[in-house]
Formats: sequence, structure tokens, C-alpha cells
Amino acid sequence: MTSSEPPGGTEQGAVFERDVRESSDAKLVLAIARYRQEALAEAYRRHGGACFGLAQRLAGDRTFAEEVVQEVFLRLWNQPEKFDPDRGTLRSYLLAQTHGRSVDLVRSESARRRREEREARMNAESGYDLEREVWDLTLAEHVREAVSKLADGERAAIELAYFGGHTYREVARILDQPEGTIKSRIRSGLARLRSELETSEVMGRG
Amino acid sequence: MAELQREELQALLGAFALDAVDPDERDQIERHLDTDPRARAEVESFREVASMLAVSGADAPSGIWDHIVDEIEGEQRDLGTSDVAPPPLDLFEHKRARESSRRSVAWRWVGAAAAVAATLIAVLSVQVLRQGDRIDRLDVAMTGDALLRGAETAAAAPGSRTVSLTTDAGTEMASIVLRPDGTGYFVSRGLEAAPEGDVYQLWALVGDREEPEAISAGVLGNNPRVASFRFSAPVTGFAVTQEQAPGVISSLQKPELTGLVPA
Repeated sequence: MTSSEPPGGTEQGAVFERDVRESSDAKLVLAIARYRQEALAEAYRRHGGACFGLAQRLAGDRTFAEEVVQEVFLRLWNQPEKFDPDRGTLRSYLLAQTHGRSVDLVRSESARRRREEREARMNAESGYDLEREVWDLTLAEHVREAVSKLADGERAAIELAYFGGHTYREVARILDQPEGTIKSRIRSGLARLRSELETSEVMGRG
Repeated sequence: MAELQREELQALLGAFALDAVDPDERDQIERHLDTDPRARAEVESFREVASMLAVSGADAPSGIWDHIVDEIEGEQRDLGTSDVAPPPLDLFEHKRARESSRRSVAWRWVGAAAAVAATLIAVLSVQVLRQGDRIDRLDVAMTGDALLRGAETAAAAPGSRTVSLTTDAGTEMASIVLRPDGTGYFVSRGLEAAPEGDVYQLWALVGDREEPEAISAGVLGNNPRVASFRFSAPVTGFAVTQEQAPGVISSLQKPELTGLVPA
């Protein structure tokens, strides 16, 4: 059984599912706290794809990504109070969880070897391409435009840190730049992106 | 590693938001965020930005969802139940006793629930404890403006009904805003904190208006201000009791507050 189906096929269940589809993220999480599986199914429908895409991008391994996403959504089920809607969107929360867990795993010794092999192959091909990562139809244009306004150094530092799962020290070594420069580029690049996205009014959309 | 200075911590906020710092730096930055709300806000905004970079139009793989459901249902099987709705209580008994003598009264199980109570009570107690615990914790996380705005919006929405929850003496101490879709908001109007170790519990009254049954709508916590709940059955009224934390499946307490939904 999947809980995206109306519970028991009842009229009441159908009404609840319709409500869930229209609920804000904050209401969804309240429903999850009350053990409504339909609400978790809706959260997964909205954000599971992005979480999976990010985990797979970081790990380059489908099985690994599946484990991370499963863990992130079970954590939402078991500890919904960890999400605070006053501190950001549910998407941001889930992706931060996905990123953190993925990075922890890829930095483990066994995963590090696999990643180095994968990166060696990728670098021989086209390397990272931040713009290719962004393609959601509703946001893509604004985000692409914001990304295009980053300085090359900012873009490379953010790509390697976020999608590559590297620490800023590792990024500094890869780009052959001082660590202080990389710290500064990541922060200034994120601030620039934030400013651009705020201007285009896409920041905070659930 | 040496303690980082404030300026160094600030310089690392971007890298921290992308999980790109070393573990010892991460610990120091987390402590810094506890004391600097502006730095925390900056990190949260950076994470919001990063989440937009990760947005993808791909569907969530259904295979993962099946695993998630298996895990959840396996956990419920281990607890011995897949239905967490607390059993109803006999409010009619309470009402008669209250009207006759105003003495403290006992709410009792209705017959059907009583028949299964002996076998289910342990399991349900576990579930109510878990539910109460997570709702209490959730209230802490969600007492911000968002819920209050939700309640205000609901109050102004067409078809919404407001129920005044009053003491025996008729003093309003809280209200319920009930939307037609069953979404409800509890809003305190000066309800004092329960004694230490106690919580307030909200009960929805269903069925016959003269002989309603009470079903737990949630544990409100020790000092509730605003909370949201959902109740899909037609509700005729609400009651609030004071219970030992983390809440109960059947109440022996006289309600602190009661109110009927306008007919």
C-alpha cells in the first residue's frame, strides 16, 4: 500500500488527500506530526525528486542516494519538530538534510575512493556545470540568470563545495587558491545569488 | 584546534551553509550561531539559496517511497497498531454528573471501546505518549507567528466558526477557530500554564449534541498559546482537560474549559 492513495478509499480519505495537495508545507508537517502518512507522501511528492537528484549528484551512486533520501524522509516522519517554518522552507530543510548526510557519507573512507575514481572520469569529460543542475521549469530561468551573474571564481567554488561535496580547504587545493580566498568567494557568491533571487522574488517559494 | 575569532567564524558562514567546513570548525560555528541570530539568519538564507540550485524537475522515485512506507508500517506493526486514533470517551456521563452535583467526575469509556480497552490500552498508551510527545515538541517549534496568522486567516474565512472555551464561571480562556474543512486552531486567551508535570489536552465532542462522545484532538502542552489540529468528523463542541504529561487516552478529570460549536 502507498499512502498517496486515499486511506481506505473513503470519501473522507479523498477529501483529506485533496486538502493535503493544497496544504502549505507548515501544515503538511503538522499533519505528519499527527501520523498522517498522506502528508508525508505529499512532502515526498513535492521534494523527493530534488533530494534524490542532489544525493545522486553528490554520490554518483543510485543505491547510496536512495538510502540517503529514505533516511531523510523517515527522519521527517519521526522528528517533524526539527523543521521550523519560521527558519525556511521545507524544501530548504530537506535538501540541507540530504546534503549534510550525503557529504558525511561521501567523505567516509570507502566512499572517498569511489568518488575519486568518479571525479577522475568526470574531469576528463566536462567537469561540473552548475547551470546544468538547475532545470526546474518554474525556477530555472531566474536561477540560471542569477548564476550567470556570479564571477567565475565564485561559481567554481560553490560548484565544488555544494555539488562536489568538498570542504573549502579541498576546494582551495583543487583551484590552487588560498583558503581565505575560497571562503570569501563562497560567501560572496551565495550573497550575490540571494540578492539576485530576492530581486526576482523566487526566494522563499516553497 | 584553536578557538576561532568572531571575524573568522563570520567568514566561514557560506562554507558552513554548504557543509564545506571541517568538523571542529562546524562545532565552533554551531555554537556561534546559538548566540548570534544575524549569523543564523545568514546561514538559513544561504541554505535557501543552495536549495534552489538543487531544484530539479525530476519526479521522486517511487521505489524509495515504497521502502519508506515499509519502514513506517513495520514500526507500526512492532507497536501492534496501525490506527492511532484514541478511543472515545463517555462525555454524556460526565455531563450528567456535572449538571447534578458539580463534583469532580469520571469520564468513562463507551461500551465498544471498553470491550477492547483491556487489550489495546498498553499499545494505545504508547502511541498517545508518542503523539503527545511529538505534538508538545512541535508546539515549541511552531509557536511563531505562522500559526497565529493561520488562525487569524481562518477566523476571517467564509464558513469558519469560532467556539469560545469558557470556565464553569463563564470566563473565556481560549477559543477554537474551526474551518469547514476540519482544520482547527486553538488560541489561548489568557489560559494560565498548567502545574509542572501537567499538560492541557483538547477533546473534540462528536455525535449527538445532547449525548456527545469525546475524542482526543491532541495534547496542547503545558503552556499553550496557539496550536493547530485537524478533525474530519462533524464536531459539536470542545473540552480542555488538565492531565499528567504526556496526556491520556481516557480522562478522569473535570474539564477546565468547554464550548459548543454554534448550531
